[in-house]
Amino acid sequence: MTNNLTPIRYTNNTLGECYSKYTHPSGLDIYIFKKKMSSSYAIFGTKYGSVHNIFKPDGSDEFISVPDGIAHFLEHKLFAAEDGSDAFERFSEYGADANAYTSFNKTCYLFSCTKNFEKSLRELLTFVTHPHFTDENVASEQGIIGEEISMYDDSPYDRCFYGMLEGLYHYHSIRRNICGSRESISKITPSLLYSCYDAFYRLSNMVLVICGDVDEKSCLDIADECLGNITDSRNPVTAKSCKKNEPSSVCKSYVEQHMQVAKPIFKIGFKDTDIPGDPVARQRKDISMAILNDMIFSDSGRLYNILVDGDMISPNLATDYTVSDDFAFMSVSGEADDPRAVLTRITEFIDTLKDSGLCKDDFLRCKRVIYADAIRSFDSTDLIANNLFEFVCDGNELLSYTDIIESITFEEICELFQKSFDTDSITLSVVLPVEK
Amino acid sequence: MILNKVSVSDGIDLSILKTDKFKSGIFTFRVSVPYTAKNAVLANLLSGVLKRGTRSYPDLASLSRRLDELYASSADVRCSRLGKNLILTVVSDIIDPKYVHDGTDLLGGVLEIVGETLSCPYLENGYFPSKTFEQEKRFLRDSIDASVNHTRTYAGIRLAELMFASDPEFSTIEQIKEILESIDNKALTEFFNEFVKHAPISVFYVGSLDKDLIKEKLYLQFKDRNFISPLQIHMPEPEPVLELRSKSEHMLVSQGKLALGFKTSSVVSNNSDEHYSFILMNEIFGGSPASKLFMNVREKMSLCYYCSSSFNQFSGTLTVSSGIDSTNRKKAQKAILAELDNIRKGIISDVEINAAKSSLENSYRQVYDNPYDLQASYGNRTFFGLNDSVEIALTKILSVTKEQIAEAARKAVLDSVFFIEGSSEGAEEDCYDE
Repeated sequence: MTNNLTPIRYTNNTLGECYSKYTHPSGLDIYIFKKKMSSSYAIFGTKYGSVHNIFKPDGSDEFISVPDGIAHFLEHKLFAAEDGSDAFERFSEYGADANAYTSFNKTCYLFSCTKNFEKSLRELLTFVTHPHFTDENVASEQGIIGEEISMYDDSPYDRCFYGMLEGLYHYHSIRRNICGSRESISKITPSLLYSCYDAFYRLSNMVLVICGDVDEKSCLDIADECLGNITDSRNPVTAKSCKKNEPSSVCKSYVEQHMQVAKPIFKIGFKDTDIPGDPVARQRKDISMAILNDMIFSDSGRLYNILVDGDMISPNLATDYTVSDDFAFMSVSGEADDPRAVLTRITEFIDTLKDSGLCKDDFLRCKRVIYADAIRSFDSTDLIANNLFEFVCDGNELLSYTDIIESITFEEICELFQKSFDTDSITLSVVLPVEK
Repeated sequence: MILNKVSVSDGIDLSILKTDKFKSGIFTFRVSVPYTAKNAVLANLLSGVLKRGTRSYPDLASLSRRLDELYASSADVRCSRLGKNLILTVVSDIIDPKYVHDGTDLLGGVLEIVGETLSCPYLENGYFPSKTFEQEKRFLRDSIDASVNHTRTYAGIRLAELMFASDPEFSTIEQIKEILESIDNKALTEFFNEFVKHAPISVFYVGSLDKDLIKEKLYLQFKDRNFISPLQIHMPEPEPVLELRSKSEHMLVSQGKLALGFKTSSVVSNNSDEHYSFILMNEIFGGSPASKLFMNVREKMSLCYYCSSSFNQFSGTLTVSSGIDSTNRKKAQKAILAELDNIRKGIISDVEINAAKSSLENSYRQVYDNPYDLQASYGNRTFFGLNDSVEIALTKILSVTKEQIAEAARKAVLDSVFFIEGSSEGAEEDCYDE
């Protein structure tokens, strides 16, 4: 069936890499990135995550709300097969290392292996397309996920992260924990799981990425064999991540929690509502923010050294920028005796820098850093497959990444800087030691 | 890939795994330091101070900027314990020069920084800058205190304290802090001068660069260094079994952490293959999602989100780590021990053995895809002069029999139990008998 498929090929001669895209008759987009490595990697996922908890099922005019944590719960339960077995057992038999994860906007199933790739791929495509939810298997999973929730609840870093999101967002579902709560998951039923599965696990909403020393034809034959009977031409369902429009201002500028930590930890969040609608522009902004963050916050910059020399922070100061089609935020995290003083110092520094302007040498240096990191990301099959998966789900192309980095100009970064880090967009989330 | 050993000079040994597989190359520079409780703290503190500046790049900002200019190359200083050896390592990750089109000399630039880090760090009047010293001392103290932030890791540290109690050079968190407070800048500088500045260096490289080019640049970089004679390497030895001890701590967390420590009589060695049985036994016990602990304690009994085991072939210790509801502590411990008992009795299916062998085969073969794993795997072997290559080790694991697995489990003796009891009350400490 797929013998007639003509792939679209993407190449980057400088990197010496290429991959192919096939659109399978089932509606699934399949990407194959050939790479001579010992291990092969496959990731099969859907553009469905924890934020998609309000949606309109087929044939209904009404939106329904589902319990927090259901996408993650579904991910756990999809491994269960009708005969009572578990997909993990078969992956183990083949010697493949299987896993799955749920993020805010994606759910992924994956494996890596050094032998039995074809058997493992067949298993991946089979178990993800054959849900089996029962009252019994849902009830037993509630105990396991309950412990998973407790584990994350005990992590001050996790709590600080969600504290930041609760501060940044008024209504958006991103402020809710991906795993949900013990209370919310107690409301999950097999019927709700089937509704979510039916809405979001249609092949036109999913992507398969394969990376390794594999035979393209065999991969496509296995797709035919496992997905051949599925022809799903339905459109993706309409999903929302909040009931009301999310304003550009933050919900709370300060969020404080007390836990068993040695000294206060903090996350400063900058809410970004200037999200380009065009995927390519969004990716460009993502890269530009990485360069800008490196220019301002890295240990080669002035700010970091002011904070360290002033004994204001512990040495690990991390930044991260997250952007998707309906949320974006930047974060700066670390450990400090007085997180409020750190925030004040950072905002003063940024204000002064906005007046005096960025330095072009810093720009050129940080661009090198981002470029080198991109080069390194082509050194493993799992990184390549995961990055390709993220890129294509967001409507982008992986092999033009280094060219985009090269094309970013100093003027562009200066303009972005002037529009970013607005003082009204900041939430400071802290976890303080418990008072003895 | 073939391991190539080259002698650069009297004090520098170079091992190369040449490969075009990766877009970056990894260097590791190892210096061995005598294993004592105080040296462990000194070496940790030194690894922080050495990252702060060299003779040519005297402060963190100038050093970091230089590394950025070298296309985000690294010169990361780390300190680790391998059996009863302390090793100070500088790890450098350099992208392949073919992706650099502006003529930047990456290799020369990085070797200059590493060379200065190990021979001439930035000093003021013969000592590390006092501000840097005080800051790094504070950072180390903070990071020791911060171990309570990660309850799983913290439980592992406390378990190790129980397991290594008979080793006078193994310190508890409290002892480490005490030693740290006693160290002054003079002591740290003297430690550097005595054990690092003139120490032999073992260099390991994985990447595409030419052997002769590396040899030549290394020679030039270190030609003025005065090397002293090599240090004694302590071959791995099994830890003695002690009387069973249990300890628990209350913490303000919702999930309890149960950590069990077992001693075995087996460590990696050239004279015996017994440790391979332990590696396979561990995989069946709690090393993968197909293991007895995962399938039974987690999946069937729903007692935890994670419950896994690991075997350290350099100390012969087997540890189990799990996150449980505190009220299930006894139930979980019983279930974990019951799974080990099953292995001891030979209640192991062929499916379990094959799954464990396949899983290990996968992990061992994946080593070839990661330059860091390659340098760790080959580097440790080279350090101890071990004969078995990754492939031979794998062949030996695949030939382990069911009886050998059961025998290994019978030789694993429960030595220590540490438990963090989640509670809403303040922290306190208990000791109790099983």
